[in-house]
Amino acid sequence: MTLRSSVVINDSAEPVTVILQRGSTISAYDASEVGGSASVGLAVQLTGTGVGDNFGVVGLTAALSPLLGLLLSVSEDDTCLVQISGECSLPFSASAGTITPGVRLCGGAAGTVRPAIVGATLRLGRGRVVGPVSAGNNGEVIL
Amino acid sequence: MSRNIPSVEGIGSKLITGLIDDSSITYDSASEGGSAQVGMAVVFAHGSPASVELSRSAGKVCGQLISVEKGGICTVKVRGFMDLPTVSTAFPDINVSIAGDSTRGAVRPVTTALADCAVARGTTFNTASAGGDILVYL
Repeated sequence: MTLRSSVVINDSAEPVTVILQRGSTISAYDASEVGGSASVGLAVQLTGTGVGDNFGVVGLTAALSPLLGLLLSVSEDDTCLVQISGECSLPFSASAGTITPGVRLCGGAAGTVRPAIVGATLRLGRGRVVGPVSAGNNGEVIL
Repeated sequence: MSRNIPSVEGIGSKLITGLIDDSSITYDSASEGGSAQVGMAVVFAHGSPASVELSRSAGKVCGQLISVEKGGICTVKVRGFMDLPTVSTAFPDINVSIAGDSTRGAVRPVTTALADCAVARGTTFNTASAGGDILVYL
């Protein structure tokens, strides 16, 4: 029997989060909502530079926009916790068409995502679809 | 109520060690971090042994050179936020991916060309003039 090298454990899927400023397309803080906003759970994109050069403003993804990550929470002071790396569940656009595991993603309409498989969206592609998912539903993604 | 927004520096960082190619990257005890190339964009080169070299024109960017030790062992930041150098091309927009510039060790925005899409990586968090540094999350 031939021995082979040990399998290397890939920990690149562990979640990474950042705090960014809330843009106008993200619903304002609402203490009655889970996570502090009706937009929590939706996909977001970077929409501007914030305080100084190093901080960004986030808004919901739009059709064929870039994708940054998943909105986890909104605070009273208009700061947002955004997951930008790791495994997460993102809502797929109802018009996303056939979604093949492994494809990269871009923005769909209003906080959703869709496969980045056409034209200029190819360069926007981020993350990977992990498992089977159909348009209009949430699916597992690795960012 | 308001509060300061913490810096993104160090968030989600992953560092690995490698061996420099001793050509595009060289050890220099007089330079900060052990090399004049510290801070530049790098790529992993196939070879025996595999080595770390400066990024190439229209090539993939694998990370940022953090330090080089005597003997050629280097540390590369392969994940997280990093300020990478530009030379000939500005980054007028946030939210774009990067590729290697024609000047080795520098980066530029990807274009819509298929070849660029294949090597595109990262997301820019600020804008930069040609010759400035661009904040990228890889």
